[in-house]
Amino acid sequence: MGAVLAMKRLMLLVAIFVAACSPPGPEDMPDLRGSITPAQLAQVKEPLLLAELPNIGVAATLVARGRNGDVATWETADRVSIAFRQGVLSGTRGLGDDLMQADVSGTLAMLASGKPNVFYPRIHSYLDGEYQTAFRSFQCSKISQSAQTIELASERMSVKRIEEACFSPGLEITNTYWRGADGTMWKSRQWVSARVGYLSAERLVK
Amino acid sequence: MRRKFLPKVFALLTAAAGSLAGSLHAQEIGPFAGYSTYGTPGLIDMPSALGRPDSELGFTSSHFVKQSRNTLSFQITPRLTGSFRYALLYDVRSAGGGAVNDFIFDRSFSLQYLLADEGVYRPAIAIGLNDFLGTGIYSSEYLVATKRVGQSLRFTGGIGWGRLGGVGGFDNPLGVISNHFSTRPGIGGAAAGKIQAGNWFRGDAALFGGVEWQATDKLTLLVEYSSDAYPSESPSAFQRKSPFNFGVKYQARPGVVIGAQYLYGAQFGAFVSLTFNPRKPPAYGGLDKAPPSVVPRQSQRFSQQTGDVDSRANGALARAGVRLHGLRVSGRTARIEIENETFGASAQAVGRTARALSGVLPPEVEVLEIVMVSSGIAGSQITLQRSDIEELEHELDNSWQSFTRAQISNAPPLQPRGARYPAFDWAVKPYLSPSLFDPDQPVRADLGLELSAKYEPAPGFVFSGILRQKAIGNLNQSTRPSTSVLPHVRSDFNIYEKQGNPALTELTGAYYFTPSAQTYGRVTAGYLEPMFGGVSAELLWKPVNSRFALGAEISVVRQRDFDQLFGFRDYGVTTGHISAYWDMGKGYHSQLDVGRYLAGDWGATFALDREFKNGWKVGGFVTLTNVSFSDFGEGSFDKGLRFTVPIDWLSGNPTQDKFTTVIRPVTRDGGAKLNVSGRLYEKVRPMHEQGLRDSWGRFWR
Repeated sequence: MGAVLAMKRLMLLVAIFVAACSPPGPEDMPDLRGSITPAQLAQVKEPLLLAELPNIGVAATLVARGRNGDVATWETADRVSIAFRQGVLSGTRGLGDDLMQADVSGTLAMLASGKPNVFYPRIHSYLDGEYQTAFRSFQCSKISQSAQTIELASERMSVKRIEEACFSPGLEITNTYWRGADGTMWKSRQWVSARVGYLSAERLVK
Repeated sequence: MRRKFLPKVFALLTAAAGSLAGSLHAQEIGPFAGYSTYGTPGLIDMPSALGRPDSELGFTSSHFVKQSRNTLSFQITPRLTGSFRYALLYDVRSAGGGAVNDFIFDRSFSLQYLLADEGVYRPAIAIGLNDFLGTGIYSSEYLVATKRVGQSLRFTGGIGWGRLGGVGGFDNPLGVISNHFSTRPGIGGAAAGKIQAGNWFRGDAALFGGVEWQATDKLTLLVEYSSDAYPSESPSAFQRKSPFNFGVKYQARPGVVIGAQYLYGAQFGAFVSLTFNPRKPPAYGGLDKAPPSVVPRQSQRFSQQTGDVDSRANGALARAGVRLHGLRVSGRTARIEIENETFGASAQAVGRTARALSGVLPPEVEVLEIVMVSSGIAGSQITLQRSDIEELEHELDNSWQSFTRAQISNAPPLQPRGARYPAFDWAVKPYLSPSLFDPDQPVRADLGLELSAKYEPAPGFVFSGILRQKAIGNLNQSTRPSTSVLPHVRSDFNIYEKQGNPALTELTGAYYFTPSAQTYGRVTAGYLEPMFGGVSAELLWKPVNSRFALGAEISVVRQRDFDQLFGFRDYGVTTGHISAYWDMGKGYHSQLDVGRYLAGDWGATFALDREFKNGWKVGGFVTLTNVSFSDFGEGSFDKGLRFTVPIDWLSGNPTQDKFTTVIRPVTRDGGAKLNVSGRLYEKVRPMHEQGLRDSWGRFWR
């Protein structure tokens, strides 16, 4: 039974990956969202995440691979990984211009109880061209919050939609979070790096 | 007469450019020079004081009546620019005058040094030397100043000697210091290849100058007054009618500039420059597969582990791209011997090992002693705390924190696991073998398949071979016979290229060992390289935390047959060097070898490289031996440039493969070194403290 499930999951992932491996480009991100059917999802018995990176034309599903403290690491079948600290992006591997680490403690505090227009810092680290650590710091604040009902994993659920704007010299980014009442991050759009752009992530299977 | 003319021209140009600037939306002109037709920082034909962005490599190609110049330039330091040029000239006289030659293929070097940066009022000032080693056709020296005026204009003016003192020349102002500067002795001929310092800044001087206008963000317009009389080219190749040149340059894409110019009232010319920077990898951090996640001992996943630790560790490491050489667990300590055959950055293999084993080792293990192994040599031991790995996995500054908490020390003797030896590996891959800037042909290359195999019966014993079969190429079309009066140790290279098909480029047995804690040893016997076979022995002294190393190599070799199979020729020699290696910091590395070369000559080689932490190297070397300049032949002494491009820099996928090429103006027999694989310094370096420190940014990749 387990083996059959694993096999089916693998086939789903393979199918998804065939789609995902078409030559990348800003306009040709595979329409993974449209090609996954509810029937397929019903067979997946473990948490599944859909990640889309329109800037580099990549879309893939990810399974939970590791957990260390409050950071969960998700991985695609071809071993690209994305780490989230309580749903807030804290690192990527295998995308090229990866986010090495992020200090998102300010964002987490804002999501829990933040007020608009109160600024807090956020620091990202990257590798430069000689593969040495380079930091980029932001000043961020909550710019909007609203209650929404979204449909996810074949369920309608009530979430809080929170927008965060972050400023760094020469750069302004906006991260958007769709968060459940229990703090679960059901969906998000978060900035990765200059060349990778934004990551859209949502839970397909809880 | 001309001297009065120049300021007028400048005034006119300024006025014209100023009015144009007002009518168009001109862009701010940048802080860097463009490339001249000589491939040096400059305007059209004339130099400019500004340099190029640090560490940029630029290839420029310019064409004008009966002459092409192809130049490779490197911004060696933020202030020093070096260029190597291959010019094809038709219907020209040699540097010293004389009859018109049908053609000359000329190789020359240039250097420019920025003496002073541009200030609010002060211009940038630079000094330069052209063709200070070659046959002297382009020989000149100059002092040049460049100043930005307003947003989009840049003015350049300078004084030149030699070729740049050819038009409107006046008595050398340096004659005030000494009469020595008043006349410039003849050059060229037998002296070619020597540093022509005796001529520098001597003879008549002349002024030159020009204006650059950044018309749009991609378009630059240029006008210059040239003091170059084209003494070798005019009137045989073209008739120089005017000192004024007009140019336009267009940035077609990032790193690509195309240009057109109208030169000397005679003809139009075309120009292209391609630039890139070793510090800007196309794939940025790389597309390496995700590293293993840390499995903290308190997590649920941890308790699920079952089975034999050694085989699970082997599997987890293999998945992470690391080869397990040995594993011993005793109490709180695990000693893990690893071989990194995947990653250019050695610290990445260490970081992956620590994470991969976090879920495998028994929970009581806290100390990870990771021993780096290469060819049976234990290079170093990196001691990490398992709890640090668990704690730092997602910390912002985890790269630095993990480095400061790591201890790097001498490695203990190895205890390989039973399954490691014997081992057999083989691979088939394509090879590219270029020959650049040959005296008769600027570019030749062979492309083919390479079969390599390696057998390791026991730690330190490596038997390996490489067989090459050419598929396409024109290396064999070099027909220039060697005229060398020395033993033909290298100058018969074209015969080797013609007859070696297939070629057994290497077939050796080697033994690597560590005689003491800070020394490493190697003995290699067999067909050592394409042209020589024999026995080679090497010793290297390099403490783990030292930036300095000393080595000695001695080899008894015999020249191989041209077909590069199993036979030998009559020539044999004992060759060897004492070598000093110094990692100077800030990315510079120097090496001095003193000893006996393949032709039996005695001397020394000095090499200076700029090394980038991503694996790129750009450098140059010179060798002087007791072979006289005339016995050496064309070029006078051995010198060249060398480049190493890591393949993972290009592709983004992890590999230790590198593409290395050496460009020599001419390949002769003096100062030639044996080229044995597996030399100890480069083998040991990545495993030592500096190599680990430089690559630690990838510890968490």
